[in-house]
Amino acid sequence: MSYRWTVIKSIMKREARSSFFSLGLYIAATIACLVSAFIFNTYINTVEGNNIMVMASPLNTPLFYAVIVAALYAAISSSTALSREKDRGTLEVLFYGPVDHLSVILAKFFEDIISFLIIMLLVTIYFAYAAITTNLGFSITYLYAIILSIFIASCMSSFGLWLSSLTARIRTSILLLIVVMGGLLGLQFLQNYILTLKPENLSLSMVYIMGIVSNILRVIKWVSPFSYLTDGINAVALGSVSMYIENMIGAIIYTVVLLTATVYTLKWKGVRKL
Amino acid sequence: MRKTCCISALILIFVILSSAIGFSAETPKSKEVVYSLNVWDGKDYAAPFYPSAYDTIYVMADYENVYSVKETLVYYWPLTREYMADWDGLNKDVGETIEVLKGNEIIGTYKKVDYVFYYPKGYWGGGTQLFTGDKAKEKKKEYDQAVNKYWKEVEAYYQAYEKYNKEVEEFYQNIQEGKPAGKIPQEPAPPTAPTFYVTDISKAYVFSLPPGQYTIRTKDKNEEIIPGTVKNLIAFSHRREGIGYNIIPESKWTYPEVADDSSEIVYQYREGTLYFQPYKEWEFNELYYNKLSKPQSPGRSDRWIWVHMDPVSNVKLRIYSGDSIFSEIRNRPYYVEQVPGSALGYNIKLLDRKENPYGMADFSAFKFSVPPTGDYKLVTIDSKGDIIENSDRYIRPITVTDARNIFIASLGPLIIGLVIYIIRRVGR
Repeated sequence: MSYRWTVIKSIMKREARSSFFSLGLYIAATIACLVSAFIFNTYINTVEGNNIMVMASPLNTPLFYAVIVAALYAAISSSTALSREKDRGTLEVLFYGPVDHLSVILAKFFEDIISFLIIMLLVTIYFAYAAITTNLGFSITYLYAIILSIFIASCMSSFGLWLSSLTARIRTSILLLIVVMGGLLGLQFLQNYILTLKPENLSLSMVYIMGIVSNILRVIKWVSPFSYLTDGINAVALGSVSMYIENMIGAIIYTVVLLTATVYTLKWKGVRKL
Repeated sequence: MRKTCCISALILIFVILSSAIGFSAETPKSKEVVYSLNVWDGKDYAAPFYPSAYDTIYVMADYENVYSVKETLVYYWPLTREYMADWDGLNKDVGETIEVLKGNEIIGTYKKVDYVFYYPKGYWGGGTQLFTGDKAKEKKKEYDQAVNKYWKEVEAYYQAYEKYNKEVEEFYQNIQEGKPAGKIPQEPAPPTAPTFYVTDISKAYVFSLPPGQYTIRTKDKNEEIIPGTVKNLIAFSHRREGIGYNIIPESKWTYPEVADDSSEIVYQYREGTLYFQPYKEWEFNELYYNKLSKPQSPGRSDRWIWVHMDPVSNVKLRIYSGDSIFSEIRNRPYYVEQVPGSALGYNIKLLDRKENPYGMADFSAFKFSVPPTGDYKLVTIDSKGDIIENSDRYIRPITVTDARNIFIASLGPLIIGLVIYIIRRVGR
């Protein structure tokens, strides 16, 4: 076990170092901050327009979008992690050494989480600046949301790793990720949009679409990492401790299941370049 | 690959068909035994009904609620996606006794009693009260007497008015004829209708329950349980009490905001004036409270909502800046004065009773002029000088007027990344 842990640590360090010195991580953090800046700007405009705004945790909404960006980075990074090494043939070489499937996958997984934490650190510094300058202020819910976001990132990362284990080419991995994530995210937004409409104002076709979407979502609720993200943000917004803990446990189970699936898929598909 | 495609297509068809089945399954108009209630919702009595599709009744604990068991025609109305009762088609009282069980033990058996609703400020005035038994009869009698008295007064008024018309005619005729006319006749004052209203006496089961989960059922004359009347019953109470605020910004006085929870922060654009109207509020479970008045409406059991009750009186608001008291404010009447001329605009002014004793206030509230900087905490102080629990709200002026710096700062991570990247490249 300790031997495996040494292997995980050394691969993880190498990967984390590479991520730290590459621009991708900082671009993702910048996008997250930029998206948040638009929301902060909306707040300022709202207060300016109405002269008043009443809100419980104004930082939670921008944080939600920042977490989506950071978690998507983790998903993209993990989805290419295995396929890139397979494509280059380096994964096969790695396995000539004292490395097994579990060590590689855990190392990649932890490296993604470290990258995610770096992004969230930069985002938090930015949020602190924005909160102080605007006088929006920090609340304790921000801390809860940040803690929960790590579990959400682990869902996204494990999902990305599993997709990566299915393919042997970077292009296919990214394409698969875009299609799957885009589809899941699209359904989520569609449902959120439909939920804002009053049933009596819906046309029959819209009611029909709503039924289809909610039935599909009922099925994929357990598969989509975004549903854990939405539920998590809801738990923080509602201040529901039970929902918060439930979400954390759900995210851990999801991550363990997908990482296990990734190990078996990698064993089944093999580590050689096809 | 082909097999996977076939399976995917089959799943898709199944999902679409299952949705279609769900929407085409309209319930026909059917005879059902339903519970029709008048439940206290904290402010007034709501009148929900429970068709057979809904097996849990929600009521507020420790308040008397009215339960009726009816046979009616129930149909599904697809436009609002809810079950409706055709009371005009069928409205038959059924059952003799209601039993309430806690687990398997019967904790209450109730017979129908006379009841009325008393509306002290008229039907739409609020403050509805429920009276049962002899008190119901007394209230009804009181109302009937008041109405009879009013009609007698109306009759007397018409007679007096007729007499008055004749006297006026005579008065002018005497003037025209140069005779002494005497005093000008006094017009009789019209009578005032009763301001309160009492419903007709009806019969129903009226009882209150302590908080808890129960089973309710109705029995007929033969002590047999009427099919379809066994339902779960949840009697719930509020979790917390507090003070909620309606906040009227000076710049948009007709668009008040609400701050119901202590976690909510009131943001004010730089300096400005806010008018606070405090209300007593109770916090309920969202699902329970929504189901209380509309059993078919959705709600979340993990969410809590504040419900405004009555405006609070004999209180003052205290503003803190840090730990020190910044100011204490009292409730005052205000009126809105339109700016003279064609230009739009208004001023909110204090209604001074000495200067303007007959003036009408547009609203009364606690005025607080928010300074341009700093953080403030507002609390409500009761008549004893104690802070009322859950009455605190933070007030923060937004200090930024230009968001450019926020956008520029968002590029910070990219700059850090570039610096690290360049250092790394140079280091190699």
